[in-house]
Amino acid sequence: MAFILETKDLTKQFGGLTAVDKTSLKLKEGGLRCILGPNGCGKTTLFNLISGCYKPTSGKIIFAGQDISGQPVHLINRAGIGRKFQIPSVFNSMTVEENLRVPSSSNWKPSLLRSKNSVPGNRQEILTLLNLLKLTEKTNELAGNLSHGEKQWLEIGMVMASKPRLMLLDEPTAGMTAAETNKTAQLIHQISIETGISVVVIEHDLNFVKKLASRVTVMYKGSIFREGNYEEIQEDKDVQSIYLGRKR
Amino acid sequence: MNKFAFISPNGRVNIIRIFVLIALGCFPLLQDAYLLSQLTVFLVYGLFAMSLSLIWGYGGILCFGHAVFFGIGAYIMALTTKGMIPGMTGIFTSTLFALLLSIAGTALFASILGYFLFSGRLSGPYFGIVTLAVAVVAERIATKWDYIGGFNGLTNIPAFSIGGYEVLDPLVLFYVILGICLILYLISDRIVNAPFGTILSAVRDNEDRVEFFGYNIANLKILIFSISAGIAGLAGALFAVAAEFVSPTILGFSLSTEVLIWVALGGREILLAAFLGAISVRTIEALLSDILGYYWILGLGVLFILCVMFFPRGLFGQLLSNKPRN
Repeated sequence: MAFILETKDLTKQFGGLTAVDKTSLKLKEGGLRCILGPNGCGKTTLFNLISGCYKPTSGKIIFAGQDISGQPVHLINRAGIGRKFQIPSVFNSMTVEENLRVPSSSNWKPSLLRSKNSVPGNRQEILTLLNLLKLTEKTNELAGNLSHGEKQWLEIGMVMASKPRLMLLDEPTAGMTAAETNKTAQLIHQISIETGISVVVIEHDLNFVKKLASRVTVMYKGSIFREGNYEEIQEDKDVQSIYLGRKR
Repeated sequence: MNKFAFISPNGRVNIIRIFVLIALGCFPLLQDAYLLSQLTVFLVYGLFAMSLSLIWGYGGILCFGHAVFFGIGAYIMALTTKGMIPGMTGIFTSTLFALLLSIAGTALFASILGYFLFSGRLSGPYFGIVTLAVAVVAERIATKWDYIGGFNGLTNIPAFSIGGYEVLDPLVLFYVILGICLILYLISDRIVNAPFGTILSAVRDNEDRVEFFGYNIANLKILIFSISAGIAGLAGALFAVAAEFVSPTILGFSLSTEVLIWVALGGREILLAAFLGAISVRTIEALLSDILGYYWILGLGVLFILCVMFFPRGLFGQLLSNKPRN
């Protein structure tokens, strides 16, 4: 079985605090996975380790058969890991279309003098993306003028435009209304099925997790606590107790 | 509601561009030799301001020591054309060679400085403070170094010469410098509108996001920093010719902050706005400083505060912008 991502005893310590503790996560190519867990359980730190923001204290990260642990952020991205931040991170002073042009990989060594019309980033691909994100009408709008939910979708689109093999989505529905959350669930589902990109989602919202109908990994105190489908996790007494804070 | 709705934003910007070029080109018709020589120097300051706009307005890099590059360019020009650099004689003391050396020298210095600063991930106010320190150090060195004139600087800089022909007529010098400014403007405009410029704006908006798309931020910043410094160096070299002197004050703290004010007043996010900002402030200064004396600086400060409060995009920034309003 080929795994797109595998962490082996991955550990990150900040001084005396162990944020991620010997986590071994395996992810199949093309899969969709939710990571669930209470605040401070190390979900975001795990993302920061995978995407190169932090260097692991010990352990390894294997992506598509290559050891990427401790590599700089931009090289990890070039290898094929795209990441969406928790706070919507779009380029506010640029138009929606320009936002989608930035991630195009043929830009990594951007040309100094060619005119804008020859910008890499296939126009057809951008139109398809805009359509998928339902932002076609906002093509020439400044990204800073979009609503919170639209910014979140735009950023997901930007990550897609960078053509990753693995997408890390950090709480994509944070701050969204119920309707927007539904739409986001649909979008992620569609991406996962249509493009074959492997997706890992960090999430708090159980309803959203249910809609995604993916395999769920529960993290607790920096390690993997349970793994299973949504129903198994929902009925698990131990998971309930860590979420509700009961003494175990 | 757009006041200029009857023409497209791009059309409006182009009209203003042509208008500025014609206005500057027709200026000598006033037949005032003093004003002409002043405006020649202001053009050079405008070019300098434009180079700062490249990194500050487009790249989001706030450099508090930009006069260092201007000053280094000016000193290289002065030392080279005066034949004061050991081992360089004959053609190596020509104006054109000195100009090229000024650009290359400052760009090289900036790329080395930029390598250390940007690879160390220095940004924001920290970057500003370090560049400020560089400016102060540079000014001290120039003041104490007798070979390059020390406190008094260098005078009697040879006139601008092209292939043996000396430009002694202020009118010709004015047009030569206007032409160089135009060429540099077109090149810079091309850069900010090329894919590189798009990525640069993205870095200004959200550096982390760009890095997580596979870009090497340090390299991008070093490149634009060097280009900007090279243009500032060229402006400095032209200053040396136009003003016929160089002194430590042009590579220090005060010119570094002055250029920041010109650019902020004009509009840092638009090259032409920064250029006009420098020329306007210098022109007003020339007109008012006789009357106001030392109070001029106070007036400039008030103007600066008012501009930040009411025209955050600069006096010319909104007018020259072809983007929708935020």
